[in-house]
Amino acid sequence: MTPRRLDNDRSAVAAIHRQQQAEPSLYVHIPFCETKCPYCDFNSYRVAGRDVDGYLSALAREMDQRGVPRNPPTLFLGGGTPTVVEPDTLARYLDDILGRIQPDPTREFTVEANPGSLTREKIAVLKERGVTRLSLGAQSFFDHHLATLGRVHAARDIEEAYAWARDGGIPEVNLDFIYAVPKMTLREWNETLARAVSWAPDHLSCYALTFEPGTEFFTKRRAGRMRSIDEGLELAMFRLTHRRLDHAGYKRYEISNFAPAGYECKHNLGYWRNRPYAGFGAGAVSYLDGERLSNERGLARYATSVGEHGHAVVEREALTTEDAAREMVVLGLRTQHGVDLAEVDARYGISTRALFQQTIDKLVAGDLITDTDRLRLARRGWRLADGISAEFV
Amino acid sequence: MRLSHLRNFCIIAHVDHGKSTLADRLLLATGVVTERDFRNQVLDTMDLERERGITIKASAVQMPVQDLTVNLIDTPGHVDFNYEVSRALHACEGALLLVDCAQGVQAQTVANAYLAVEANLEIIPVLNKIDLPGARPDVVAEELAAVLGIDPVGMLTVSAKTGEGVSEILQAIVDQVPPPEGDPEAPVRALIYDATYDDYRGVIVYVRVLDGELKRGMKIKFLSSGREYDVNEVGAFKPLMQKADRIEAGSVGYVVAALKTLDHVKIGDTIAPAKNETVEMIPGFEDPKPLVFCGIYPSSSQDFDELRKSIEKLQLNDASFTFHPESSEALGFGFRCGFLGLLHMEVIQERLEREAGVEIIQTAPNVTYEVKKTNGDIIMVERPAELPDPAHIDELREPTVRASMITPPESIGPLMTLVNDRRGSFVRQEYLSQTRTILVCDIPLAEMVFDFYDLVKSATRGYGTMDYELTGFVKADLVKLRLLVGGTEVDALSVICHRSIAQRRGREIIRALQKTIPRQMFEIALQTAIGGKIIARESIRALRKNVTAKCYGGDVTRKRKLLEKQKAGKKRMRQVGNVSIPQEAFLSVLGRGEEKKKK
Repeated sequence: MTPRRLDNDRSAVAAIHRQQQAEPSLYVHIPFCETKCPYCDFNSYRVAGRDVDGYLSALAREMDQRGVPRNPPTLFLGGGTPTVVEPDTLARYLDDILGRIQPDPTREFTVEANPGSLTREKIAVLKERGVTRLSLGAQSFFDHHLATLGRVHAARDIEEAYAWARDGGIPEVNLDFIYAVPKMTLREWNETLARAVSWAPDHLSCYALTFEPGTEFFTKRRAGRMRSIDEGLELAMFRLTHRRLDHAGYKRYEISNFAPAGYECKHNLGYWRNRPYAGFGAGAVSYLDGERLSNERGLARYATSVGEHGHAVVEREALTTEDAAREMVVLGLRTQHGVDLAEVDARYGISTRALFQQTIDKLVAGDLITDTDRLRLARRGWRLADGISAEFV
Repeated sequence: MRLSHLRNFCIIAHVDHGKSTLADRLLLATGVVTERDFRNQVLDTMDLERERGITIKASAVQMPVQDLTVNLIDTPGHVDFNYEVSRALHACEGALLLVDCAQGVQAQTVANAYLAVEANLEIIPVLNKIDLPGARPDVVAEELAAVLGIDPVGMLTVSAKTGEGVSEILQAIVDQVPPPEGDPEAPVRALIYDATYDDYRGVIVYVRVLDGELKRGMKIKFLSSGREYDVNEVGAFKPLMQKADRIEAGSVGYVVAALKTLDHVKIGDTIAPAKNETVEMIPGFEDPKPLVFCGIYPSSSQDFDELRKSIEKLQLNDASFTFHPESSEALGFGFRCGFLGLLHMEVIQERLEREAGVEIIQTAPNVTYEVKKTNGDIIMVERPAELPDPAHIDELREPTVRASMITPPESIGPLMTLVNDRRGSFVRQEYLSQTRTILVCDIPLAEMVFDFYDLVKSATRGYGTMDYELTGFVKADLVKLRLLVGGTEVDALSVICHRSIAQRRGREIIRALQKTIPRQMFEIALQTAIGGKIIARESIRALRKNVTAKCYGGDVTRKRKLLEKQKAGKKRMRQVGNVSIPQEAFLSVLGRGEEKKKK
C-alpha cells in the first residue's frame, strides 16, 4: 500500500463510513487466563495475582468515557478466557456491559471459554444474561497434544464442558481445534475431526498451529528445540479438514471456520466484510469511521491511561480509500462468500478493476481464484491464500 | 648537462621481492631523502599499493651519484600492466633485476627480465634479502643464470632491509648502465611512459626526452592524436616535484600542460614540437584495450550518482580502465567496466569501495569475444545479448593467453590437470634449477578470469607464481547458453561458454537458482538451452501451503503489514512472466561466486 496518506482522502474514508451509518459491532477483551499457553500470542496474562477488579473498573470507565455503541449487531467477549473469573465477577461485568446497550434477544452474543475453568454455575450465569453462542477452546482430544500445547485441561474435560453447555441451554456451541501440532499424525487429526462431528456442535474452528514471534514455541523452534510438522503433512491435514467437515455438513465459510448454513459466526463475518467494530479492554482494536485504533496492551498501562485520558488508544491508523478497498478485498477473499468488487467500488468510489485486473487475470489463469459474480478463492487457492492476498495489498 | 653524466635505470622484480625497500635505500644512500623524513616506500603513493605490495603508478626520482645524475624510474609490477612496464623500460638504459633469495625466481621475474632484454637494457642481477635465514643465494644465482643465460658467479647481493650492499649497487649502476644516447640539438622527441592526475594541477605527464629538450612555454603536440598543448611547467622528482627550466635530452621528468583529463594522454605516445612534421613516432605505441569486463552496480539504487562520481574520478587517474553506464533488469543502473586484466580489476574495485564509500555489487568477470560474421565483418562482443543471430556467425573467437608458471617440479602434475581442466594446452617446460620449473601453457582467458590464480596457488601448495600475456583471439566452439525461467529467456542470466562445459555450467546455474529463487505459488521450470535444444532442466516446487490460520479484528493491521512486507520483497524482485526472481538469484549466477573462491 502507498505510504502516502492524504488527509482529505482519509476524511473521505471517514465520510464513507459515516454515511453508511452501520452500527459497529462490540468486542470486549478479558485478558486473563489460568495459564499462558506457549503458542498463544494474544494479549493475555496469567490470572493469579492480577488485579482483576481493577481491570474491570478500568474497562467500565473506558466504556463510559469512549461510549459504547447502543445497538451493536453482535457482541463478542474474547480473551484471554472471559470465563476464568469467579461466577459473581462474571455476572457483574456482564451486567456492566449489557447495561450500556439496548437489549435485543436476537443479537448474536458470543463468549469464549476453556474446558478447564468452565463450570455449570458459570454457564448458568451466561445463559441468564442472554449469551447465544459459546466458543469452547477444545484444541485436541488427545492428552499428549494438549500437554504439548500447554493446556490445563484434559480430553475428558471437553466432553464435560460441552455437555454442561448443552444442558445449560446455550443455543449455539463452537469448538476450537488446533492441528499441525508437532508429532501429530494424520490419523489422530482424522479421529479428532470424526469425534468432533459426532457431537454435532453448531460450529467448528480448526486452526493450523502457527509459530508466532514472541511466543515460547517460536523461540523454541528457532533454537531448534521444536520442529514444525512436515509441510506435506500439514497440507494433508488442511485438506482433510475441509473434506471431512464438508461431508458432515460443516461448510468452510472462512479459511479456518466451518458451520452449517445459518450458523456462521456473524461477529467474525463482520471483520471479513470490513464492517466497523468497537473494541474495549487492554489491546483491543476498533475500526471506526475508516480508522483503526489500538489500545494499550499492558494491564497497568491500560488502567493508568484510561484513568488519565478516559481511553487507552495508543495507535491510530487512518486508511486511504485505496488502502481500505485493498483491505476489503484481502479480507473478503478469506471467505467462501468472496468479495464483490462492484460493492467495493461503490463503497469507496474507486475502480478496483483498474487497480487489479492484471493481478486477477494472472491468478485466474493460475487456478488460484475465480472471477464470476464475485471474486473467490479457487479450490487450489485456499491453501495459498496469503500469497494471493499479497498480490492485492 | 652532457649525456655521459646521465644514467637512467629501473628496478624490476616479482611482487614482494623488495623493490620499494631497495628504492628507498638508494634514495637514502644518495641523500635524496634523509633518515628523518625517510618514510617507508617513498615511491608508492597510494595506500592500496602499499598494502598489496604492488606499485601501480610509475614515477621517477632523480638522485646524484658521484658526479652523475641518476634517474630511478619506477615500473608497475604486475602482468596486467605489461604494456606500461615495457614503456617505462624504454625510458631506461639499465635495469636492476631484483630477486628474493629466499623465494627464488618467480613468474614475474622471468616476464620482466624478458621485457628488459627486449628493450635492450643492461641487466644487473641483484640478489636481495641475503639477511634472511632461508636465503639461498647460490641456488637463486643458478636460476637467474638459467633465465638470462649469464654467468652465475659474482652477482651482486644486497639486504635492502639493512642497507648492506647498497653502495656496490650504486657503483654498478655508474659502471654498467650505459649513458643515454640522443641528439640534444634536434627538435624535441619525448616518450610518454606514464601519466597521473592531480586534483590541483590536472594531468601530470611523465616523459623521457630522447632528443632535444622540453621547456616551459613550448608548444608541443602528441603525435598519436596530433593535439597541441602549451607546456606550463616542467621538472623532476627529487623526490618531490621540483620545477625546472627544461628537461634535457636523455633525462626524465614531468610535464604539466593544460590537460584536464587523462583521456588524451596515451602511454607510449611521442611528444614533438607543434608544427613539426619531421619527428617520428617512437616505435611500440599501442592503445591498450580492456580484456576483462565486469558490471559494477551500487547495492542500493540511490547510491548510483555517488558511484558514478567515484568511477569518473578513478578514471582520471587510470585511462586504461574504461566504463560505460548500463542497466541490468536484474541489478538496476550501473556500469560496465573494462580492465587490462584481473589484478587491474581487483585494484579498481577495492579503490572504488574504499573511495566511493558505497557498497558495490560486482558481476562475474567475462571476456571480449571476437565474432566473424558470415558477411566477413568482425565485431567484438562483451555480452551474450550482443551476439548476432547464430545464422550470421561464421566464427567465434576467444582471447587466449600464454601463461608461464614457475613451480616446484612436483607440482607439475596437479598444474597440468588444472590446465587441462581449463581447456589449456601445454607449450613447453624448462628446468631452472632442481627446485624450480617453468611451465608454459596456452589457456583461454575466459577460463582464467574467475579463480585460476587461486587454483594455481593451491595446486602448487602456495609456491607457484604465474604471469601471462595475451597471444590473440583463437577460434573456439563457443555457444550461448540460454537460461529460461518458466519458459521465458532471461538474458541477464545467459552466458557464453565453451560447448564442452555447457552441460556442467548449465547445471551449476540451475542449481544456484534453485537455491536462491524462493518457492512460489506455481511450479517454476528452470531450463538451460543451446539454441532451441534444452540441455538441462530442473524445477522449483510450488509452495504447498501459505495461509494465516487466524485473522480477526485485532489481527488485520498486523496481517496487512505482513502481506505488505511480502509484497515489498516481491517488488524488489524482477518479474519474469509469473516468476519473481530476487537479486540474490542473479548474484548467485552473475556474482563473484564466493563459494567458488574459497576452494
